[in-house]
Amino acid sequence: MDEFLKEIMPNVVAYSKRFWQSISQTGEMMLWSGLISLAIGLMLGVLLTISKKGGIRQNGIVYQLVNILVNVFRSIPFVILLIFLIPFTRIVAGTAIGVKGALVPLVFGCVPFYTRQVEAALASVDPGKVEAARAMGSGTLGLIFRVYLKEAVPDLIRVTTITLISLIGLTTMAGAVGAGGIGSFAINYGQNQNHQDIVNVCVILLLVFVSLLQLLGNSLARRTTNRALISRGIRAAEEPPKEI
Amino acid sequence: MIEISHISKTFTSRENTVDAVRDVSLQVREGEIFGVIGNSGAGKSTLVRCLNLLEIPDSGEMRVAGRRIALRGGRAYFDGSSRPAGEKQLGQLRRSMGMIFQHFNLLDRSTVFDNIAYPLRYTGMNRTDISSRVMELLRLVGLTDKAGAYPSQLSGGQKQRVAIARALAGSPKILLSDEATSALDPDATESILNLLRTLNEELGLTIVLITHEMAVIKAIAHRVAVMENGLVVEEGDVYDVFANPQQDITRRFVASATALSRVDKLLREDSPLVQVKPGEMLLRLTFSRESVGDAAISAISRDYGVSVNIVLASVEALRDDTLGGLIAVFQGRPDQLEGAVSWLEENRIKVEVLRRG
Repeated sequence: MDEFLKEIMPNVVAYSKRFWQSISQTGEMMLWSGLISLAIGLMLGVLLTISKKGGIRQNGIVYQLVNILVNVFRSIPFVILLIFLIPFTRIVAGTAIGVKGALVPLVFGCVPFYTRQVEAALASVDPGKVEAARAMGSGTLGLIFRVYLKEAVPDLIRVTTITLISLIGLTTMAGAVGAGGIGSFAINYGQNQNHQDIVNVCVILLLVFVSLLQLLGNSLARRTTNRALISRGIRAAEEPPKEI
Repeated sequence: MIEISHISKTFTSRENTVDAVRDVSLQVREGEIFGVIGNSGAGKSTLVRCLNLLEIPDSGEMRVAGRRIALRGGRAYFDGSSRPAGEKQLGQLRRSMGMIFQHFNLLDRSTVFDNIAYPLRYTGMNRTDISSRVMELLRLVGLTDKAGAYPSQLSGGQKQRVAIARALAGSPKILLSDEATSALDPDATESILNLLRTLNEELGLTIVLITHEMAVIKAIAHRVAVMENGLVVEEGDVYDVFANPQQDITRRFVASATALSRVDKLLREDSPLVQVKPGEMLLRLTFSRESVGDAAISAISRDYGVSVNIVLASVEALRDDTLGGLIAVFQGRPDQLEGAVSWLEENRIKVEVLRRG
């Protein structure tokens, strides 16, 4: 087995320690920036939805503030954002380099995108449902959690998948501030040292990673859509409610 | 039960302002089915949303659910309070009324059970009580076997039944119905109207029913208000409004719900059926509660020597009453015709001359 691997990708094997390290760095960046971005993006998306004109808590100032911030940060290319945010990152994270230094720009790069996606997902919730819930006496929190977020679950899963995939793209650029990861491994040890096998392996690795995410996202989205419940048959209709 | 006085609501956007509801005063009595009819854009949907303060009127006053509510500047002040009502108070008021909608507005990702349980959750009610209440409601609307189904597995009529069960979950005394049958086929419409009527009669539920179809009013309402351009232009017992509509718009609505309106089409097309020769008159006779059943036609032909040629005739069922209509060509000498007409009028039959030969 070792012989075979050495045969097809000698440089990956030679730099295997660096290779595994880069995978763990990418994983680390994905995990933390992903969690933080999803939490903030979800909040801002909800904020945009409820504060916009005709929303359940209409507020022009809040809406415009979030709206402009999102637009500004969405229009800055990520590589520029990375270096632009260095002073700010130092204050927040204590350092501007390494995985820790990359988290702040990753969050800034990812949140605006996710916010818009969440806003679009929530916009697909039928306003009639919101009105019915208001008529039943639900307040702002009830409307957010019991109607908007609950009814939009399949759409939210879909946009979260898209966002995480684009976040993988962003992490490969984080090498610019020395955060490592698969992207910088491919550039520094592959491209720069003319080791084509390293580049190839990195591409395949990312491809597999993205495909797995997409697969997982699709299946979750499908399972949470009520259409799927129909295809599972009338049995669902005949089962007694689990509540009891 | 519900009393609103001088309620107005204006919507302003950059392009224009719409006076959706203009100075409307109404009274809905306990235990009645009160219909509001109007064309789209007449303001009836806004009016019903004002009743549970989904839309807060700009001005006016209302008494509802035992509260006196003053409305100023798009805010509601409860029971003489100087502070506008907050989310909590508004929520409480809304919970005292149920509401159903044209497009049902059920939560698609929740089962029938969970949809009906929605208004009961987070109210301090425990799971067992919620569950038995939901089952009771499912029995009430005849869907006990659908508790675990999702809305997408139900027909339109079944969805509306679930919506009705959900609206009644908190045992409100008032049900607001916004075009609840407009998206349903005729059979489902009939079954939903029957259900509403049963709820009204057996639970004493007061129902405010918004519709653009006179047939709905005719089938179940006790009283009706007709809206046009944000104003209530006519109001009264359904029977009286049908028997004696005052406004043009009301006449059009009434005509839309009776077979006799076909004569207007015949008149427009100048059909041979409605041609009159000299010495003939085309009349519309309306038989009301007191006169239906009398042998009027045989009486006038016998006593006045007038011959009557019936073009159209119908008897309308209004809730539990009937209202008859007849379109006929009367033939005879002028004095005979005059005598017949005055006899009819004496017998409380409304006579309209449509054409004179």
